[in-house]
Amino acid sequence: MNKFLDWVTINLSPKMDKITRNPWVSSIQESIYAVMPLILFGSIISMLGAIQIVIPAFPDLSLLSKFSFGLFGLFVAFLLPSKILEKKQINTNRTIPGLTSLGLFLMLTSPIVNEEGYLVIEFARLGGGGLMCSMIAGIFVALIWILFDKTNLFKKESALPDFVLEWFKNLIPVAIALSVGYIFSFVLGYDVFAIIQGLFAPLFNSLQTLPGAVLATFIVTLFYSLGISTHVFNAFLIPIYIGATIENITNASMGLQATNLFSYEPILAFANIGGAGMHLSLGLMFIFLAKSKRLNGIGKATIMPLIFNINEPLLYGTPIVFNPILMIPMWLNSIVCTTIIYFAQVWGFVPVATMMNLTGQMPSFMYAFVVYGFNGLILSIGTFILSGLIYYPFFKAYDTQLATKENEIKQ
Amino acid sequence: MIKVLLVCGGGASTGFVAKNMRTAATKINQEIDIIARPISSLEELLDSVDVVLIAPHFKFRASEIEQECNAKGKKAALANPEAYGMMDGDGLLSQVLFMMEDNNE
Repeated sequence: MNKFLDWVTINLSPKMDKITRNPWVSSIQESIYAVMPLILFGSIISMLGAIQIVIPAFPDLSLLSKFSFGLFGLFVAFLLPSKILEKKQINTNRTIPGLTSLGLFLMLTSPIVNEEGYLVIEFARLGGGGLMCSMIAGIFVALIWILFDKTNLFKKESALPDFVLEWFKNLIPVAIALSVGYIFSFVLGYDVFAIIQGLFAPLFNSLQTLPGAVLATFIVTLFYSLGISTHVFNAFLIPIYIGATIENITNASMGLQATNLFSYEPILAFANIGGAGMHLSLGLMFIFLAKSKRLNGIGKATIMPLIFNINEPLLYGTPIVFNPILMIPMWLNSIVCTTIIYFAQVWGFVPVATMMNLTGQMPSFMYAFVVYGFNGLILSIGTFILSGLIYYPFFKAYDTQLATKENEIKQ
Repeated sequence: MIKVLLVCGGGASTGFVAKNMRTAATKINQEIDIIARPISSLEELLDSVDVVLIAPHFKFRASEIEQECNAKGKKAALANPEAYGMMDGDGLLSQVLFMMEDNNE
């Protein structure tokens, strides 16, 4: 095990560092998470929408979701270029690239002029389904500004006054970015949005397979156990998983089958009880079963956040990070629970979710009930208990180690 | 009054920790203002705070954040992982006060 940790710190860590410190990666991560309050609002509206099934007289609030969650792609299109330029330390007005990216993104959704002469944009393309397109638009716009910043078209001794120079510094990148969009969308008539979706389809589809989904959740848990926040990978999984849920909802509304088994809804309900790695059971074991004072103390200190699926304190307090005895069951839990998600839906124990709900901080049993009903509650209790069984032998070993040391010190 | 910014991914885990730090500050009558925010808010909040503590699971961003903070004359450091793990408000408060002490030399 120590050989593995050595290999990780010498070989894997530097590579991981390169990815996680990459400014493009962190720009995407921050832009997506910056929109979270609106996404959570959309999730709440979705949950309220479920009330309609029970109380038909309950009003239809779905439009509130349309103008919050439903504009996810649009928001990220605006935020991404300025984030990239901030991290690349390009000294330029941040608003102009953002606005340009908005314009470019809208162009790439292939608006058409209808019979009444109105320019029509497909609203559905502005939401989570549009994230890949909006990120490409944002990156492209940022690249243009970066390249332009490097070329230094005008000399400092130029005869032109400052404000004219500034004007051109912004005007030229705007012209380039929008002209490219114009040519592709309107002159050549490509549906760039659909092309981009097609490009990412293999990735999307592979994450809907059991091995793909298991690999994805395993990687998130692996890196987390090595001290890297789940936010890094989640930023890239969000477009994929949200896209899957949107597709499920669309299919269901048309009377078709919802076929995407992996998205945030099943993961948050059944594989995130106490955060990534299923740590609620472990925390409770610390409080009620631990013989060592240390684990007992950490359990008591960190149980409150654990109930809300926040396990960072537990991970660093125990510690679980870089601690082989507790890392292994954490990985096992991610693999096992993801697999259970697959079979539970294939065997029909729980339906494929047709609710968009990213409220990861809601206690998991409640969440499972809200999204999946009674069977969901049962299944989440089931995976919770199973995670405890998986943790138990490793917990016992570690607890005994610590308790023995504590007793030795006493003597 | 010292103004502290705790950053992590979504501001969730730091929220709990911030609460304990405020309790610790009240205990010793230390005037301190502590906010926990997502890392994406760093740029807009940096001017209005004195010290930035980075949650341990964002260690990979620590050197970049420290650079950004120092460039604006603000102190920044990775929160002590053990103290963070135990949600030890006293420990993290001590870390902040120690960081601010360097300032006054």
